[in-house]
Amino acid sequence: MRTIAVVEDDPSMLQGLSRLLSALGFRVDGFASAESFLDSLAQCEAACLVVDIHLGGISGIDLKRKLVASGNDFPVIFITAVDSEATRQAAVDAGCVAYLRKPFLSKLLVEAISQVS
Amino acid sequence: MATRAFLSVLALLLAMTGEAFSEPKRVLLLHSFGRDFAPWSEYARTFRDELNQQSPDPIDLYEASLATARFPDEEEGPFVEYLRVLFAKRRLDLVVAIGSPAVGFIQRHRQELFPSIPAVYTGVERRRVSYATLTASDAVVAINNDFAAVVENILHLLPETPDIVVVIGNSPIEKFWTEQLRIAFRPFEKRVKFTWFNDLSFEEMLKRAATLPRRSAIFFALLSVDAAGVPHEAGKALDRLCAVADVPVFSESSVFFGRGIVGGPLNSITALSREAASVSVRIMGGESPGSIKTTPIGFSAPRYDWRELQRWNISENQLPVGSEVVFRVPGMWEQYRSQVTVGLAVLLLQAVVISWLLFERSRRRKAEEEAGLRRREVVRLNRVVTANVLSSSIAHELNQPLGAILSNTEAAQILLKSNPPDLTQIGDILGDIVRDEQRASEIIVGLRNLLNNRNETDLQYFDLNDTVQEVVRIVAPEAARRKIALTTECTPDALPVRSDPIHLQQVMLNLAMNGMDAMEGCEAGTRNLKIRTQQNPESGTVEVTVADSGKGIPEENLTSIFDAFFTTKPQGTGLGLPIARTIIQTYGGTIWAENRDRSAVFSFRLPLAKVVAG
Repeated sequence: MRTIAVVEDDPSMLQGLSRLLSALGFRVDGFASAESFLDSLAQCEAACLVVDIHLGGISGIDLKRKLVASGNDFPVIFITAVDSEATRQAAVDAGCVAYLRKPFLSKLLVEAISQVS
Repeated sequence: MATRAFLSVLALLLAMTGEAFSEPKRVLLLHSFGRDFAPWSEYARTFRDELNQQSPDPIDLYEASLATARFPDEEEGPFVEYLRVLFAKRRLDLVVAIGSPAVGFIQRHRQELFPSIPAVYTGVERRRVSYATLTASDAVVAINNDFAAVVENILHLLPETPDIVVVIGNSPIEKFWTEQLRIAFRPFEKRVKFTWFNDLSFEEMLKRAATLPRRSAIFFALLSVDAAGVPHEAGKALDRLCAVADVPVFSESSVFFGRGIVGGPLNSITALSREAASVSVRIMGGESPGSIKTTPIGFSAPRYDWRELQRWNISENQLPVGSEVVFRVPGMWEQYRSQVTVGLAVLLLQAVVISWLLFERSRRRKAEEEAGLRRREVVRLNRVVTANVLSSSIAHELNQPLGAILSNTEAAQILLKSNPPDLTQIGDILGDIVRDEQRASEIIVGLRNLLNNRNETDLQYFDLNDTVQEVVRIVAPEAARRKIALTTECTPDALPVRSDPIHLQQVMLNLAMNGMDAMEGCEAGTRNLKIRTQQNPESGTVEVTVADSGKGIPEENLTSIFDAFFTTKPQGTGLGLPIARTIIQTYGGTIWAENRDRSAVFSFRLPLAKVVAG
């Protein structure tokens, strides 16, 4: 069973995503902020990260950059509630498997995850 | 004073003495039918006036009427005797006979009555004077009636007249004139039929006149004694005739002019009387009557009665050249020309003023409408701009619950397919979906007004605290995004105001967004935006302040920031604060900016609405 880490500061969204991924047969590690994810980075076994871009503290894109900078190349799927060309471009530049605009269908998420394996 | 009075008395005495020296002239005025028988009565009246006017001596006037003229075979003897007795001891200076019967009488009896007294024969037609038997003591001032001209006049005015009725009596003089008229009318008999009333009684004449065919005309020649032997005063007879006849009446006698005749060429009594008086004065002055020869006086220029022309629908254009139209009944315009002119001028002026005022009013209303429309449009655009600025926060706020709902729903769908389905978890999921759905709809409710594309002002009573809460709901996500601590301090008192809630929401949004923008460069953690409301019962106002923790506003800009297009922001429109001020002023309030603790504070004050307790 593969593990997916979800970094999302909206509790509802985090819970909804966790339930969905669980129902789809993934193990889910949920984090309410980039900071809390980074804290437990060492124990992380996730095959893939699902990261919200607009997080309260460190943004999703900055998180990806930090990971890249520290040599961690987790595949990242960005999700965002604020779609703009600049955000999309920043996400692509930071490197990502997919960029999903909330609300999104599970099919898109599953497709993105399946690209990782 | 005394001298002047004495001189006046002297002057008066001298005048009286002069008067006493000149003996009055005794004049006998002999009427043919009676003092009051028209037309001679008029000749006599004007002659008297003229004589008194022209004579240098006072006139002692005796008048007598030859009543016998009314009857064909009356004995003249007693009247001759009466005159002889009357003037036996009074020497007359002049005898004036008016009308042909009187003239004939004097001519017949002057030898026995007044053998050497000069006589003037007037008020008579030339044909009625026997010029051959005139003596050296006689002078004639006659008229000359051109009866053909009378008929020509009738036919000229009424070319389609088939029938001219001739009204004339049956006395000797009238019989004479009937013959004269027949001769004069003969040339016209091919053009028009003449009907003669001379052998009718006056009553019969009236009866016939009343039923004349529409286009007939009446020629009133003379009526002294009708065929029944009844004497008539011609003037009164004419009045009765005109009253019953429904056709135009003509006469050649100026005496009847103005009494119902249409008019035309008329003999002139004035000219005749003036001439007769003049001749009389000359004779009394010593001139020999036989040496004074006058030409019979003909018709004067045609004169017409305007009222009759109107009645018979005769156009003034039809009248002969040189005609005079008299008795014109002045119309409203002629009679009150100045009043009417002034009235019309006043009316016109009023109309002009009224039109101008109406025009101005409609122009002003139009301008006001236009201004109102522009203002509403600007306000709306400003709202759209605000909404645009907030759009990413709005999208974020909405997409968050929508994303959660979608994920939860799909998770539930998957869970339902497992056997057995985890109903507890599905129940939790559904509960969360409901919660997120409510969250989304709350956001939508809060934003609905912001995005409302409404053009009408909607005046309402509402609590300003509610508006603050709405604004907080709208800007909170943006504040969170910008890491700004948004706090409110609302008074527990109700803040009823009367305005369009959207407008006040707009003002607060502008102020809040400005405050947030002002803290752009500030360090995170020190960014505070505080909205505070309070009631001021003494002044009956509510006050709202929006304070930021930015760097404040340069003192010199504190008032100019409310001017249009003043902006310090690169992407600002510079309209936010002017619009806020316009809105606040519209509702009778004031808005101002100040610096407190080096930070900017924007405040506005609105009158507290008196809410009718309901």
